[in-house]
Formats: sequence, C-alpha cells, structure tokens
Amino acid sequence: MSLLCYQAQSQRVDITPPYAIESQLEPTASFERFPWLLEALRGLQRICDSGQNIPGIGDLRISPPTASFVRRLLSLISIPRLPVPRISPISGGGVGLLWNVGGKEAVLTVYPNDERLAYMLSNEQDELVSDGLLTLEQQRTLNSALGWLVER
Amino acid sequence: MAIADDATIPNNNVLLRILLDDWIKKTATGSRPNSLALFDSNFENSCFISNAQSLSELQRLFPGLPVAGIPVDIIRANGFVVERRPTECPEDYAGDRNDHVVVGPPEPCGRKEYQRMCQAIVKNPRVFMLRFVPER
Repeated sequence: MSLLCYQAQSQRVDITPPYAIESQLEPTASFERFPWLLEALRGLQRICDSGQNIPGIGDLRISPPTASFVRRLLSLISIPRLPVPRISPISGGGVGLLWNVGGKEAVLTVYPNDERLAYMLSNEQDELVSDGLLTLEQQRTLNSALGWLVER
Repeated sequence: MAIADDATIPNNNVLLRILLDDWIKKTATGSRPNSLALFDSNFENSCFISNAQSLSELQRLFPGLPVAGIPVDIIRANGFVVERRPTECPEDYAGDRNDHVVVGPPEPCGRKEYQRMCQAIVKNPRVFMLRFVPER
C-alpha cells in the first residue's frame, strides 16, 4: 500500500476514543505540587465509606454527587503551602473542610442541595472576618480566600 | 420544615448536642464545638434537653462520644428557636421522648446567615463540653 493510499484510509478512521484520555502523570504531578491533596482525598473517601444515618446526631451519609463536588472543589485549590484540611461530614449529607493555620481558620462547606460552597474565615481572635457563597466557577475568589490563611 | 419555638422550654435549660470527634476544636482553655458541629443542610439539628434521665440514656446510646452543652438562652439570642420533636427521637431512646428537640431558624433564611448563627452559638464561651464514658 502506498503512503498516499494509507493516509487516505487513515483519514476515514475516527481515532477519537469513546472516553477521555487522562494522563497518568498529571495526578502524580498534582500530588507533588500540592502535598495536602492526597491526604484530603483520602479523608473524603474515609467519611464517604463510614457515613451512616445516626438518629440523635444526623444523617452523615454522603452521596456520590456531593463527594464528586468536593473532589472538584479540591482540584481547584492552587495553594501548595496549605496544610491538610480536616474533612468532616455535616449533618444532612454535607461535607465540611476546615483549615487552622497559626490561629486563623477557614471553613468550607458543601451541602447536597446547593450547588454553591460556603466559606467562613476567622482571625486569630476567633472573630468571623469574611464569609460568602461561591460557585465552582469562582476559582480565583476561592484561592484568594484560602490564600489569606497562609499569607505572611 | 419550619421550626416553632416552644415556650415550655425555659431559657435556663441546657441542650445537649451529641458530637463527632471531628466536630471539636481545641482551644487554649480546653475545647469547644467547631464550626461544623451545628451545621445541617436542612437547617435544623437534633439536641436533647439535659436532665438526669436524658444524660443517662445518652450515655447508654452514645458511649465515648463528646457532647456540647448549650444553654437555651444562647440558642435564642442568636436567632434560633427550639422545638420538641418526639417523633424524631432515636427509636431505642428509653427516656422521655419529649427530651428530643430540634434547633434552627424559625423562618427560611440564607445559608450564609444560617451558618453565621451556628458559628456564633458554638463560639459562645458559655457553651461547655462533656464526654460520655467509653463502653467497657
């Protein structure tokens, strides 16, 4: 078969795979650049695996869409120097992420019935200094809020 | 669901909120519930009115778990109300089921406002911590 003929045949072949190709190197690179990320994802998996409805405390079961939302949220945080967040269930099927850095505190919450995340920042005196609601499209604001934790 | 304040629960009562270990913040003087302890995606939380019988029952049902003691006046001063919900009491609770209450805002409110109220409550220095004795 001539090269020309081969190219002509190849052009007829759809080489787009029916699934998205994900580089195996990218996750590794993310974990190296953001050392807290792997432990955070493990923490999320832990609370997803152990979630149960406990009358008297609350429903601590986390749905797959909520877990997926939290994973997307974690993937948007681009601050390498953050410590590992404490990841906890919130009554009613939500997830809370909590960072404490030198007396400052940041809390992010994800609720199953709301496509926004809420953030609350408290200073060293335990006073609320900022809070708000964000969508996952507001990555810059999210990183700005969390960046406040580690700024010197 | 809207929550209606129950005037038969006096301000000097204390509500017990059973916590997870993940919902505790260490402080210079000990510990307090952290901001997540009162959050709920439905804007209402289970608590129990504190008395000798409820303490004994909760110790039996939740051995080893931490508990926050929240005076009712702090709940109300921060915009929440308290309603008895005996029907939502744990099935195996053998005490007075009217000890089970829910707390939350009386009217629908925004999530930001709700979380602010929750945080103000848990940060109040009169909120205290207990821990039930672990099961032997």
